[in-house]
Amino acid sequence: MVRYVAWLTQALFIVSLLSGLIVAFAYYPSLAYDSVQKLNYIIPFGSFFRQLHYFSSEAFLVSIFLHIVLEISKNGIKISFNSWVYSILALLLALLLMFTGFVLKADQSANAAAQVAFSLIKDTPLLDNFLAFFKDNTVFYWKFFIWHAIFLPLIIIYALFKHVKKLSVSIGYFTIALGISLFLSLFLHMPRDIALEEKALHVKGPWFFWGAENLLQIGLNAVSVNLLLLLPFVLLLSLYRQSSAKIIKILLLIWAFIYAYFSI
Amino acid sequence: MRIFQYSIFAALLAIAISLYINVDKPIAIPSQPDQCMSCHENTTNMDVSHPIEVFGCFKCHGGNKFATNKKDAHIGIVLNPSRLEHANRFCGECHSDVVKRVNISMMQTENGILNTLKFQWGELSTPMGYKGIDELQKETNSTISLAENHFRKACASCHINQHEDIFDDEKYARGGGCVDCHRIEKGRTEGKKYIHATLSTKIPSSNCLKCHNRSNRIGLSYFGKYESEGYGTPYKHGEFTNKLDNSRFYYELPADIHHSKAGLDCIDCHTEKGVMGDGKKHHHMEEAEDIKCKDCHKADFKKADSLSVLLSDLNENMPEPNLIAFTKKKNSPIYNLQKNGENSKFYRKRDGKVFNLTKMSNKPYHISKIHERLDCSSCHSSWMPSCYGCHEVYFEDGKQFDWVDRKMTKGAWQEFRSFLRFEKPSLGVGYNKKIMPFAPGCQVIGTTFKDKKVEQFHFMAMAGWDPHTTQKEVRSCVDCHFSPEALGLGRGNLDIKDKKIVFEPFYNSKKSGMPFDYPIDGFVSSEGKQFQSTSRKEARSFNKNELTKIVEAYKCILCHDSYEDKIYKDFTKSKEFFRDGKTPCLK
Amino acid sequence: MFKIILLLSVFFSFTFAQDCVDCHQKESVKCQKSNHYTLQNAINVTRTAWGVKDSNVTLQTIPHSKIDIKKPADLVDDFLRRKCLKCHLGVKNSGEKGMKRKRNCLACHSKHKTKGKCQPKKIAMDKCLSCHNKEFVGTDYKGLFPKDYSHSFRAPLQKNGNYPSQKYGIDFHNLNQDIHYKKGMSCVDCHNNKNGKNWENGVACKECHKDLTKQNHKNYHNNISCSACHSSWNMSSYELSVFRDDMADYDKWKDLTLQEDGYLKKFLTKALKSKKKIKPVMPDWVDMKMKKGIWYSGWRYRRWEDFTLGNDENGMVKILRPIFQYRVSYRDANGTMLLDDVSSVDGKSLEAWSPYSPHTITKKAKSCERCHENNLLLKNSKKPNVIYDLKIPKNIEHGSALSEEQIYRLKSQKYKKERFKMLQ
Repeated sequence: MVRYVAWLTQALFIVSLLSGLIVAFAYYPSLAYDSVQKLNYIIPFGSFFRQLHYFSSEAFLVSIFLHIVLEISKNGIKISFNSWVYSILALLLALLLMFTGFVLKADQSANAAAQVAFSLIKDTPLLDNFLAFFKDNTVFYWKFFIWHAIFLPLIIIYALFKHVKKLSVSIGYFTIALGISLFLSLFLHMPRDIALEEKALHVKGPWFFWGAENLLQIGLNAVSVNLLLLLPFVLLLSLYRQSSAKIIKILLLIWAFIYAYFSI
Repeated sequence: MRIFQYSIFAALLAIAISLYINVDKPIAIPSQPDQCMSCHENTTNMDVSHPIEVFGCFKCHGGNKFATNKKDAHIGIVLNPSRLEHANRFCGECHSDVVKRVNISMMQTENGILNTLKFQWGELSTPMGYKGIDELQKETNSTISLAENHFRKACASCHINQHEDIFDDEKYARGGGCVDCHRIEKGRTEGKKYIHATLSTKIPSSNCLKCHNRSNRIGLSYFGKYESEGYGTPYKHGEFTNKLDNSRFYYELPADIHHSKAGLDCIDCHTEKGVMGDGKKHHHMEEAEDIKCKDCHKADFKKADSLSVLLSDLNENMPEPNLIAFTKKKNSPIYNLQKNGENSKFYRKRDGKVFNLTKMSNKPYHISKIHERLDCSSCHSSWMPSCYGCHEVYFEDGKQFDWVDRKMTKGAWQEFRSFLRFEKPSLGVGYNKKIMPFAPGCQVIGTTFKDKKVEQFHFMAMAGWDPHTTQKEVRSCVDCHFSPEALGLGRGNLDIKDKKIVFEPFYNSKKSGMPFDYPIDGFVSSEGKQFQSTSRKEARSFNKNELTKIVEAYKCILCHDSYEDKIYKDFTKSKEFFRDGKTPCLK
Repeated sequence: MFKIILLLSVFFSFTFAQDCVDCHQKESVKCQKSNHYTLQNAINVTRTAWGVKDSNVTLQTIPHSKIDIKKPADLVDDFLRRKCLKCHLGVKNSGEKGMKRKRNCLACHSKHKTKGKCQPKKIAMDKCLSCHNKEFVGTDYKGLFPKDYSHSFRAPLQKNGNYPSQKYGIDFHNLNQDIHYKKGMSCVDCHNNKNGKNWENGVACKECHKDLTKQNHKNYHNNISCSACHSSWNMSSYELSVFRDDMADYDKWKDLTLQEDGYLKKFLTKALKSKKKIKPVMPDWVDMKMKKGIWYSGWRYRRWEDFTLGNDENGMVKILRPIFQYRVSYRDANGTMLLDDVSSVDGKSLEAWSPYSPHTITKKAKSCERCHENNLLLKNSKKPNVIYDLKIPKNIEHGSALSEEQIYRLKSQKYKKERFKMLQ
């Protein structure tokens, strides 16, 4: 069973990669919002591929979490420490990919999310070196685009390679992954793009980011939020040591509950 | 393995279904300049300045310009982008200067009405400086004073940013922001399809008349209508005639000569700066208003500026201006009064018809020193609607529609009056220190019913304005110099006895139930004591000195009834001669 | 309620109260010849104005209107019977406050306290005013001028919050009062039959005011009547539109229930409130029967400050008043307009102006300018239009317009010299 989820995760990643490649052809970072809308309505099959990319990526993230939960609920971690580290890195990269992908759609919620990230980074001593990302407004989307479409995928492929040793996927899994994404696109709706001029009441970031947004809103300062966000990664890393496995698992669970609570 | 196979099969099924759905989706044909036209393909072109091929729909109406289905396309769409809350975003993108000015103009804030009303009802010590409608709208739950309650129920329906859909009858709808003035509706096609309205600078007078048909009735008087005593006569076909609306009637009096002779609209004289504001927040209408008679009838022609070239080009009915007239007060271009060569030509903006403007002559009656304080309207106005004894009744327990909050709120008003007149306008010294026609403005006697208690208050004021009933022929000399109505004494018997002015008024206010004892149409007593107030510092009735001089002049006018008469060349000297007995008058 | 009053009035029919006639035989015969009994003047002036040729009927001989109405002359009798003739000696109460009277002799004269004993009592002014009110000479003596009809003119409210009190069917402006009233004189102090006068004719002021050597009583004003100069204001109600409607169409009159007609006010108030449609009926005040159709009326405008002058039958210059300028409409029960706003017949307008004496005398006469610079007489109106034209008489009864010479003399050199002297 576990194997299936792992392979599924892989397959979903491939689907997302391929559909992302197609969508990237239509994306024009200088006119980010307009190009996304054009893709939705004008370009033939544009909305089909965009939805495919979106749902496969979301499914990918969910399936990663499922994979992690399944793996650590087993007794003992069977892979090498190196591989373990690479997998954590892959998780981080996946989240970054999701985040940058969200910002790229360039609507009001995307801008809001970028603003939140900006304020998180600005006030944190180490991370403020990354401010360069947000500085120049005119090339803002270009930067995100290059990272989301080129650098981050390359790094994550390398990390995954290091994690799994082989990076192939069978047609079967691929089909299933495709099927799941399309199935989701039939029954669920992508979150609506909110035009920049619209007077929208509640603008939210991606769902995994809600907890961070709400924590910031109730007044927690940036540094503590950043630390809170980094906590699970540290915990996961330390899981490698068998001795404190149970405690750490419990700690992870608690963290998950706290974050979930604040997300709502 | 079985699960695996089943899931592959399910996946294939899902792929097939979604592909099927997607392939069947109609492929959008990209339309220019935005996707709105893919559904709204028969939208007629609005006007020369806002062509649909260039602007599209999204630029003015918002929404989603790429969407191809109704639901997505109409998210965030704005039906009337010229409403002042949207105007900054849409119209203001190109017309930012104008939008800024209109937002603080008097027609939007109603500042003048509020100031004067609160001053007259004793809530302000001077008629200056109070808030405007936009500030009232932001206030909630504060106690509303009596004058403000009256303003909300009776006056506030007329302002530029009113909501057009709250009027029961479409005929009387006002408001809408920029389009309140600039829209010309085109109606519907035979198939009931809506034809997109035009935005135009050739504003038809009917747009102005939506609001300017009340209060001082200028919009009616200019067109020769006088709001009458409400009899509805004569009855034709068994129905009332000459209806203004369901309860008001009019009869026809001579229209302003600018209308009867030249068919001019309001915009032919009133400049954009005077109407849309000059960027400053004013207290009263006369501060905002720009045009004066002499700006055309005694024009100083100067080189046309870029704005006038632009506007005359946009109008398409007049040639490119070389020299044009400018208003003396705010230096706005009157681009339809042009001088190309020797002759000055006045172009009617609506259709470009040309008129030769009658210049103000240099005849003695215009240049003589004795009449230098007279405003043009004091002689040239033929009649002035005067409504005496406005009676406001307030029922605290009643409910009436509040035009600021747009819902029924506490407090209801009913309005009565004593009598109406239009003949022989009174004169007085106006806000510009010149003599102009005066009429009641407003003579308020109020009765309030609060908690079964009845209270009365009153504030009697006369106000001066140009009634827009200009004629070429003026009042005769005696109609001012020895007419009790013109002098501000009221209707009655005026005579001179023992060299003093003696006046016996007809109206007995006290016996008629008024809470004061001067005649209701008396602005001033024969001794020069001003009975009624005004709502401007500089405005007043004639004082004793002026009354004496005016009536004294009548003695000469009796025989010397022509301006050309040589005694008027230096009247002070002539009076001296007379007093020394050197004239043949008394022989 | 109203029907009961009518029935009672019918019961007390058109005979003189036998009590009075027993002793006062001579007087009752004389009275039956008087204008107050026959209403000859008022009836014939109106009938002539509406186009009846050689009209010579009295209240007792006034015909009914024809069934087939083609011109105003066919309808005038119905108009008179139902609108105007409520003011005659046989009607006790026409529904307006202040217009209740006893019938016949007692309409003016009061009863003896004890029969047989002569106790001449002066006729109270209120008895006269019960008919002589509003547009007619009578209440102007007290300084009253009727307000306009529309509901919006019921102002100012009294101190207790009530509408101004109404009398004779409407509320009034208070203008200045006749000086004789201020000094305490009532109608019969002048209008009596002392010294062989006819009590119905006008009064010669010279009877009391013998000394006219002061002031402007110069010979050039010899043919000017006293009231022309000494009246302060006068009654001018221009253009009366009357409309007989046999259809039940009341909603448009909701602001105009007050039309100086007490019956109409009660009827309209009831009709507007009731959910069922009430048939339009109005009493004929001559034979006291309810007949179908309602007469509505409305003026164009009313003024007290303008006036125009004319000659009366004796060549004296008097103030002219419109009495009245008619526009007639008649809609039958099917909705056909049998007469639609008819204001002239064969080129002659349906109007009558007549010289009269306004009872608004003041000690100080009008200033010279009010006649000599009178725009209506000098035809100064630069932009004549329908409204100003109403002030120019087209048809004068019992009088004539000022001649060209008279008008010329208004601005003569002689006048200017005299006036100048007075202004010093």
